[in-house]
Amino acid sequence: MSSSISIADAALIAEIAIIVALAVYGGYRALTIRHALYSRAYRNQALAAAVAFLALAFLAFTNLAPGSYASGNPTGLFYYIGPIFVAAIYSAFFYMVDVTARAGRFSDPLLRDTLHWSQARKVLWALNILCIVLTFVTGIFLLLFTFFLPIVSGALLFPVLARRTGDMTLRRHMRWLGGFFVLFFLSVFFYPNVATDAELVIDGLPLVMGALFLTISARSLAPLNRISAIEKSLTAPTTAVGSVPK
Amino acid sequence: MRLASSGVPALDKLLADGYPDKSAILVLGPPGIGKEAIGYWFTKTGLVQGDFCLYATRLPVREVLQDVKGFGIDMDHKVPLWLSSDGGQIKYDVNDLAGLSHSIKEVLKQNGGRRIRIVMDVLSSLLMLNQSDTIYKFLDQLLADAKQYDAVVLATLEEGMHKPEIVTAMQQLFDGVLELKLYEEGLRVLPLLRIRKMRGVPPQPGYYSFSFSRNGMELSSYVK
Repeated sequence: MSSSISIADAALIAEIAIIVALAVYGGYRALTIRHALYSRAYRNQALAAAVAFLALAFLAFTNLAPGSYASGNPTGLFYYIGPIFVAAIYSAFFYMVDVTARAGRFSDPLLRDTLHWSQARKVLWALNILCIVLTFVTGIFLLLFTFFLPIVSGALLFPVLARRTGDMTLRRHMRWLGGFFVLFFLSVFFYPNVATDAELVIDGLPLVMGALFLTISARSLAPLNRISAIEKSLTAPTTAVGSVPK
Repeated sequence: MRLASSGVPALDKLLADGYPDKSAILVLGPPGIGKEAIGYWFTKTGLVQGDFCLYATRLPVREVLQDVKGFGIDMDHKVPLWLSSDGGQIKYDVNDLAGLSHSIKEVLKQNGGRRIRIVMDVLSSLLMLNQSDTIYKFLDQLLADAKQYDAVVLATLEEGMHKPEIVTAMQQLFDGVLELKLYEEGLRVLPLLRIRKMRGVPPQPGYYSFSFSRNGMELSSYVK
C-alpha cells in the first residue's frame, strides 16, 4: 500500500477541511445567536442551523471521503453507516426548513399559515419517518423522498414566506438558505455519475460553495450590530444593576 | 411625580423608580430578543397593584399565554383585558384602525378613575399593512388621548422590519425609548439594552447586558 496520496485525494481532503471549518464556525455562530435570543421560534431556528452544520460536516465525510464512494461500491464502515447518515442529514435539512417556516409565520403581519404548513408539516414528518423505517426494514431505497423533502418544501415555501414576511433579516436568511439547497441538490443529485476521485473533487465544489452559503445564512439569523469606538468610551458606567425575583 | 413600575426592579432602578406618569414608552428590538417580556412584566405588576391592564396583540391569546409561561410569569389568576385577533374580549382587526382606536378610547373612558396600563404589541404589523403617515397620525392621536387619563402606554416595535426613517419618526412620538439589540463582540453575541431616552431621566450613554431566566430579568452594566 502506497503511503503517498494523489492530488485528487489531497484536493478532497482540502474540500472536507474547508466544509468542516465552515461548519464549526457556522454552528458555533448559530449557537451563540441562539443563546442571545429568548423567543422559542427564533431559538429553534438557530438550533436548526447548528444541526444543519453538523449534518453538513457529516455529508462532507460521507460524500467526499477519498475512496469511500468513488467506485460506486462503498466499503467498510461507510457501507453500514452511510444510509443512517444520509437519513439523518436530509432530515436535519428538513428540520431547518420546518422551523424557518414557523419563524416566518411570526414575522408575517397577518400571521398566515403559509401553505397550511402547521398541518402539512405533521404529514410530511410522518411520511419521512415512514420512508426511513421502510428503507431499513425492507431494504427498498426510499430515501429519495427524504432527500427531496427539504429541497421541494423549501422551494415552495421560501418564495411565499419571503413575500409575506416584513423581516428583512429573515428574508436574507432564506435567500442564502435557498442558495444552499440549490447547491446541495446539485452536489448530491449528480453524485451517481461520479466514478473517480478526480470527478469527486469537481462534485465536491458545489458542496463547498453550499457550506459558504449556509454560513452566511447563519450570520443572517438575527441582525447583529457593533458598538462604535466612541460609544465604547461612553460605556461601562458602574457595577451590576441587580436581578429580579419571580 | 407618580411612577409606574416596569415590573423589573433592576430596570426600575435605572429609570429612577419606573416609567414616568402619563407616558408612552417604546421598546425597540429585533424579533426574538424578548421585547414582549418587558410588556409581560409591566402588565403583571399592574395587575398585582390593581391597575387596569389592556394587552393588545396580533397573536392568539393562547400563544401569548404560552410565551408568558415560558418567561416564568404567572398570569393564571389575574389577566389583562385582551385585545386580540383570537381569544380576546375585544376583537383585533389589523385593517380596522378606526375600530382599534375606538376600542382603546372606550377602555380609557370606562376605567377613567384608575391607573391604566396599555401594552401594544401590534405596532409593527400596523406599520407593515398601512401607510406610515396614517399610523403616525393614528398613534399621535391615540397617545394624546391616553395622556388625558392616568395611563401609561408601552408599545413594541420590531427592528429590521421598517425603514430607519420610520423607526426614527416613531421614536419621536414616545416619551421613553428602550432599545434591545444584539451586538457582536469577537465571536460572542450579546443582547444589550440601552435607554435611548426617558422623560425625567438624564441621558444615559451606557449599555446594559440582560438575560431572562425563569426567575426574572437580570441586568448588569456592560463593561468591555
